[in-house]
Amino acid sequence: MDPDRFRTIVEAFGADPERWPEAERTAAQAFLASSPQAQQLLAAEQDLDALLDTVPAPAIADQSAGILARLPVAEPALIERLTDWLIPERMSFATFFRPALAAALPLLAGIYLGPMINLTDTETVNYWDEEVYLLTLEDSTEVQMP
Amino acid sequence: MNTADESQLVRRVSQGDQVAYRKLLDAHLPAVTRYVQRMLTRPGDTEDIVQEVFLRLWTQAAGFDQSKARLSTWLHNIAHNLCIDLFRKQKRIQLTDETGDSTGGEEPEVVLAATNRSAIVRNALSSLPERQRSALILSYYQGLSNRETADILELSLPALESLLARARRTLKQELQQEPEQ
Repeated sequence: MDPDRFRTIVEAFGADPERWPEAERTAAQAFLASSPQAQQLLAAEQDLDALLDTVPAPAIADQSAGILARLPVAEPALIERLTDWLIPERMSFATFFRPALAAALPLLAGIYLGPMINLTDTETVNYWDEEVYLLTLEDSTEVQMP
Repeated sequence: MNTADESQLVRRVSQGDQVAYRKLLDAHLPAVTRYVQRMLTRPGDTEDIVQEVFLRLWTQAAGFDQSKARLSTWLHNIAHNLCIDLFRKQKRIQLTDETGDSTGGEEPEVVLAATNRSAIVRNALSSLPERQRSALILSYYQGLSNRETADILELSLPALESLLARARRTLKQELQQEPEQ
């Protein structure tokens, strides 16, 4: 520890060795014990520390309730919303019918979507249409009557 | 609260756990509030910034990296940056508002209260350049380590020492100019 480094430490961190860089604390304290110049420097910083210590810690109002109240609530996932709709926490007369309505939903969807979906095999139908048509074109005189 | 517990709580907060959030809030709210109160002069500003700091804990917990900093350092860093943003905004307002007073936004009661030593020191602290003030508050009053203070201010350790020395020198000069009460 040299005088310049000691000066840098006390001018930056003040007179309390607890605030000095840990790695240099012991060396700085040893230097302080042996150097009147270092003790003079320390005294000047002690005066400023004493003034800084006159400032009390600010009284703080507890804001936690306000902070918690302002937290944005995440939008629940679709499945959670559906579950909540089906099995709400607070039951009412209207919610009595919800399971029945939920059960009817697939039926309603089927009625709505049914006409839009053609399940017939159109190629097979076209094939038989053509067969019947060709049969009508055949010469019926070839058929031998008994 | 040890680091592992804290890490676990932050992970739970990132999943929307309000119970974990409440524990972290209780642990860190007083220190962050004290830092912001010492940085600013208007109580309304303090409240807004503290709320914003903890809103970010809620919304950005997933982005917190325990291997890079302690939660306390991360929260102080957010608070410091919000304070600096506010000072810049206030300076812009002062520049555009020619009718504004020249007391730097201090409440009249703060000026009137400067009749005792602690009020004089508090005013001297308030008049320090923002980064010097922040360095001194973090290092002297908040009890953060030099490494943590340097990280919050995004400085090297030698640069922090230099900033702190300038802050203390400025403060000594300011206080020497004050008449004894």
